[in-house]
Amino acid sequence: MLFQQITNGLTIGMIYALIALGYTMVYGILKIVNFAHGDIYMIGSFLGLFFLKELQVPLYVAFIFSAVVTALLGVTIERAAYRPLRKADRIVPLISALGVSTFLISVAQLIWGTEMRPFPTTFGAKIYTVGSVTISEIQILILVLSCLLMVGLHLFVKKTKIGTAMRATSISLTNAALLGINTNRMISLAFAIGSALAACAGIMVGIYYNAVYPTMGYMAGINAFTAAVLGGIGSIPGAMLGGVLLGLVEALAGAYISTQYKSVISFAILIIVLLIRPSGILGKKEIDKV
Amino acid sequence: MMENVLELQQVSVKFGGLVALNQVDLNVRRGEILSIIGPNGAGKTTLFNIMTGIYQPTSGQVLYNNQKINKLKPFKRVELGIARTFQNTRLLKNMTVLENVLVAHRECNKEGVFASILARSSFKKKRQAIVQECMEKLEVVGLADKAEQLAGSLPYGEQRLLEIARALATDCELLLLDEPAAGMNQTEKRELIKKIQLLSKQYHIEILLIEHDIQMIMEISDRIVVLNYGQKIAEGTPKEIQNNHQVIQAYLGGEVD
Amino acid sequence: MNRKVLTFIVAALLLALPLLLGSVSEFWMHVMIMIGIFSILSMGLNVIIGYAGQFALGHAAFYGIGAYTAALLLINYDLSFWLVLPIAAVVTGFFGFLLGTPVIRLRGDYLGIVTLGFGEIVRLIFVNWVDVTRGPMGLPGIPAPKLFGYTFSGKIEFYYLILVLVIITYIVINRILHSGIGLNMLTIREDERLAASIGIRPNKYKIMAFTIGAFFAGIAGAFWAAYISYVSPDAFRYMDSVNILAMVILGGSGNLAGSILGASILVITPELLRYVSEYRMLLLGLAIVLMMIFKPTGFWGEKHRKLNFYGKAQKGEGK
Repeated sequence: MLFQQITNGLTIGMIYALIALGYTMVYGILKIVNFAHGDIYMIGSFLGLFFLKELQVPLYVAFIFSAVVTALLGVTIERAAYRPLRKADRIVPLISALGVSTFLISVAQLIWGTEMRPFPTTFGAKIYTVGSVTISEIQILILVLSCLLMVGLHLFVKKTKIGTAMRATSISLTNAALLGINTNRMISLAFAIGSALAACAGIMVGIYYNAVYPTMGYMAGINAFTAAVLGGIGSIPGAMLGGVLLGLVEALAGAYISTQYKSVISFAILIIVLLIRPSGILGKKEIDKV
Repeated sequence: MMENVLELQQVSVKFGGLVALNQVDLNVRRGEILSIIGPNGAGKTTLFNIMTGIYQPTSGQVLYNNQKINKLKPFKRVELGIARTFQNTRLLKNMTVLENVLVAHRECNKEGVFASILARSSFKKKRQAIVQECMEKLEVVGLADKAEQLAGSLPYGEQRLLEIARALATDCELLLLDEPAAGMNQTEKRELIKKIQLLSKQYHIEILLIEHDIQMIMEISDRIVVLNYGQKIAEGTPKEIQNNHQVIQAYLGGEVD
Repeated sequence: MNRKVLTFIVAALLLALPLLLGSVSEFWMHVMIMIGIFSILSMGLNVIIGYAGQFALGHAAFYGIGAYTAALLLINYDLSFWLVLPIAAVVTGFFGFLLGTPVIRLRGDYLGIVTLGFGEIVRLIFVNWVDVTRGPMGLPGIPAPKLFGYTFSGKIEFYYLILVLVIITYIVINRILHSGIGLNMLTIREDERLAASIGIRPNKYKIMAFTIGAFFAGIAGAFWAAYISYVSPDAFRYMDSVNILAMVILGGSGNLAGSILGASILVITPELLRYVSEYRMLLLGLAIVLMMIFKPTGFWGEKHRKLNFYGKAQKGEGK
């Protein structure tokens, strides 16, 4: 039972981690929370649905197409709804993000209706048993693909020139600009990567639960945000760690305490972390100059 | 009576690896005007931030009227009587000059919810009195006739005067002025000097001053403290500082006539 | 002179409205009542967001707490509505205080998510605490208010009641905001560090804002319970919080009258544009983004805040 819960928890934790990466990368550079990120994840999922169902492409193609389109969406949103507001009061881009979120949800509702849609793929249903634990094909996919994506991101950020430039931008926007880095491009890149990862997560979730619906970004977004904060917002390894931890805690708490109030548990974690150690596990304490 | 209003004992401030202040001893005596000088980055504003409670010292004590105030929050220190102005003027640009002063007034901070709702005539009279007192502070700095203007529309020199009026409205005993003369021309500086002396002698406010204008410092200060790289390197009357070789070397870069 | 005449005309129109509309429009009476309810909600939220500058989502939760409190009291105990209304308001205000106390330390984005979480938790409790709230089935059969033996039976009575409540809300909040409290809140919003440096206690005023906003949401909720005589979790979702927020934004943060206008626009428009109601959320989202880019202080914005409401100093007196 315990190992089963751990397996399930890890699975959902990987999903949280992928989505959390989007939050943390954007926050790392711009120091704002992209409220609409959860809905970008949702759109990515629906796009996967579209490519699989209408265009009948193979699964891996759906992943790639959806990731690309969602990345473009993320970049467009940044350009249209956040960039003009960089100099405004802090609360203004937050409200704008809210508007974007509302907009995305209603677009999804208009195109695909408000009901839950099944995910049109037979992949992933096969179940393997290892000892007392059952693990399905899709769970294996989630675990493997997520790991690959995260390792890929890690290498990108640490080893490539662009990745390093992105890291520099998240350390200090002004210094990066002074060094000649095109910070706008870095910001767009962060949005693009975060959105693409979220899209992959969305498709995997669609297969896993065999359901997509327009408001799925809401809870997933909050959970992923919690994961990002838990691990240390602004830190990429932090998002990964936070995601996995949150997934495990949620699965265990859901099994041993109560399933109905599962989301209450993640909120509780969020509130506790924010009040006690807002910089999270791996984050750095912020010092602001007066 | 050499009574200390404010005293810093062996105060050190470290931000991670950066040492902003290193075991600084400082005191402000009753009735005096004390100036702090030093190159940029010497830690002068950090000193103010320690005094007002924005930062906590990593070690050392801050005493106000012989009370240890290390742990007190900024607003509590204002209630005790410490007020400050800022190096980069922090005004409420979209509110009027008078409003900027009103928000600092003690009584304005005490208005209760129910009293505001009922708005009885006694309440309104109280308000008039508050307005009156704030206008008086504006008159001290010479801004009374601009009371209804938006604070953001004032020229820079007057904005700095407004900050002083605002600090006065808190009914302070100790006033920390952070480069009040920055951006002022000679005439304005003359006026400022007069005003500071007025505050000291007539209103009995202790004044702690950070400034770069050496002439002004020499003219107005009872004592001067010199800071460099977070350490106090000299302290004394203007005459003593003028002749202190260490100071001249570190900061003044030559003889001062 | 001009302003007074205008106010008088508007007041007269509002008072005579039921007579003017006649029997034509139970429907439009309902719309006006909804405008009234949402005006109270958005004015309350304006105190939190527009004055104290706290990015609080989840306001619908307070609305719900007020409604459920009133519903439970009215159904289970034989209390008069006129007693239940203030009780519900106080209870809700207390929840505002409870929520405010831990969260005000948080910065903008975090505050938004946490208040959103609070809103969601409250809704989950409404849905899952079936013993008390009957879950999704809601609480039907709430008795109507009685005044001097007369039981409220039609929309007209409720209309006048909400009109009175809106006016009271406006006056009370106006007076609170046009006082040292309002000035201090604005200062905290503009520059919290500065506020602390001049003796203002930021936490005190932020919590006050939450309490006030919640209190009035409680009034709106209690009224809603008695008016519809049925409460269910459906009226208090995340989207409803976003709606109320949009009303505040449209009217201008910091502008009370603007909140009433914002409420009017957002209640009437979907009714007028019934055939495009599907696009309502879409347009709302778009409108919010566009407002932030082009008119962040709302259509009427802060320029209309009466500057220096304390009154001018009498020059020449006492000097």
